[in-house]
Amino acid sequence: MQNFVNDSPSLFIQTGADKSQLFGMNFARNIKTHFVMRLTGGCRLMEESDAVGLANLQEALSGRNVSEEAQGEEVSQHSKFAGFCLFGGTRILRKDNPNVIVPGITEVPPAISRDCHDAVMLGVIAKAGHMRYTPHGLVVHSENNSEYATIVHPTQTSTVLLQPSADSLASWDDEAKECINICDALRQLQWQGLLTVYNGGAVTEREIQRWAKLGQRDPFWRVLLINGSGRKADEYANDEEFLEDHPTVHVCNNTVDSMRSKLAELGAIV
Amino acid sequence: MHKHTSKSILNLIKENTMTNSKTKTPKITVDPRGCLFIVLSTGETVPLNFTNLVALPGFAREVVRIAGGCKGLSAEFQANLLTYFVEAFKVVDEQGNTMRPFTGTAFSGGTANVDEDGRIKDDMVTNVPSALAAVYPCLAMSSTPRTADMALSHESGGLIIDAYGGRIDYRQQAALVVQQNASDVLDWDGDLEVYLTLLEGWQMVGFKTAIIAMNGGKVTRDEIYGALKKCIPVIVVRDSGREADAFIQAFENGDFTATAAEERAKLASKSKNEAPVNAIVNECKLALESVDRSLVTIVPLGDSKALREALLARGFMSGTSGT
Repeated sequence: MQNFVNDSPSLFIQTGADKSQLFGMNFARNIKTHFVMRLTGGCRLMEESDAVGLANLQEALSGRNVSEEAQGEEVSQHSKFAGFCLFGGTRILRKDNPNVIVPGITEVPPAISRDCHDAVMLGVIAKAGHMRYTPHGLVVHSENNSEYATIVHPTQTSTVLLQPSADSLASWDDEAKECINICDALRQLQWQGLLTVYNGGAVTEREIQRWAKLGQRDPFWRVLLINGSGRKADEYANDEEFLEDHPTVHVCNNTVDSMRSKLAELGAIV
Repeated sequence: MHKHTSKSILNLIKENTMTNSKTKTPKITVDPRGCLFIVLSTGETVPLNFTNLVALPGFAREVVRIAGGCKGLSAEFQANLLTYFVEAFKVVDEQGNTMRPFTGTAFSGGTANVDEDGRIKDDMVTNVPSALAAVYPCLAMSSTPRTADMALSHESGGLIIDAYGGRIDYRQQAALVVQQNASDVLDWDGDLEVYLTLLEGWQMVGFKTAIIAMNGGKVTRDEIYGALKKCIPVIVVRDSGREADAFIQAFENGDFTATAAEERAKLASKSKNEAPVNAIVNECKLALESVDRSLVTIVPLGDSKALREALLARGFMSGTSGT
């Protein structure tokens, strides 16, 4: 029966060492591609000029051709993402006007889900602040002196929220660590994996380093850095020594064609 | 397509049962080493290589748990127990030829009795998944509570899981043992929450799920009511005795006198207060008031066709498989 409850994403809360069995069961969904993509990068601290390119990533993953659509031309068919996407699972809103959504990497998976019917979007959220339920969503992070609030993204397949305990807070790194744990289990099932990085700061940097280091031992741990997306993605994409030492780290440019080509080469779009 | 007459199926069961006792392999091999074996302690989650086994390409997205026992049932029925299930888990044409076998996952308590020579006796409902996997391209999996220290048989190396010599049926593709921790054991219902959560999870991501309950004691009763609380369909075998029949009596007539009757008799025989049993019965009454009654199907004992039709009505043996 279709109703507002059945159509809503499920939310599981993991406390301490607890693990959600039911969140993990999402990986038994009937998806033809056993491919897990971890999507990470910049959110609130991303420059506006860098955020513009998120549309390129959205277009490359969704298989759409926005320019052709805008011109009313016959739209070309492109490969699209059809696997499991692990992302931050949040949305950032302006406190003074909650109707304003702040662009960030976590807006990409929900946006492409409209076109990628064969994909599963799974949010992994670190409870970095005390939660508040509001008419605009479940707030998981909000600093008093900040203009922004982070809510659980309303559009995804399923979400797991990580907290050390009911009253203590998780760190932003917990999200990346949990995603590595999940991906490692899938690696043992012979899945393919990819960390796609757009922009990002210090937390993203540590995640790039973890995946790159793991990639020295197992080719499952591949990284795609989008050069031209800004901040840490650019820094590592242009670090020749780093790239030479870490052969599972790949680079593409911040254009739809370059992303599409690399994502197809790595098996992320089919 | 697999096409066997009823007679050839029976022969095949016997042949495969004998063969599998020697080779330890079901019809479809998932891990060439043998039966995947996982021990889970309280607080841990079942690993993905167990939960995702059912989602392997080619297998139907259907999981059925076979629960209960055979206590008090006739020797004739027990001798035909596996045939009863094997016959039910296939779609047949008017002549009785197999049109489509079960290709999903059969799930059970996973224990097996052995004879003096250490050979599996195939006399329990927990052997049904292995019997199905021996003749159909399906999966056999189990979850079992660790109720005693485990031991390896000196004769065969088989894993003894309880204090009575019960083994893990090694002819399955995967077996999960649930324990409190390395030191402490669980009761016979120790895996109940784990396996009901698995069924709930599989159902959540699009699998057809159900429990077949026949006979059985207090654990079977908890399985039936626990499944219904989680909206998992239950197929109950009428006249199979004990808690399965007690449930039918309660479900059809609101008569709970047979519910927990064995526990009540035990307390009465020791002149103990029956309040704990009354509490169990009240809990069952409350549960039945709120469950979706359409989740319950009742089938007669020994009627493979009726069980097959119940499975088909629940979407099993649909002929579709995962990608």
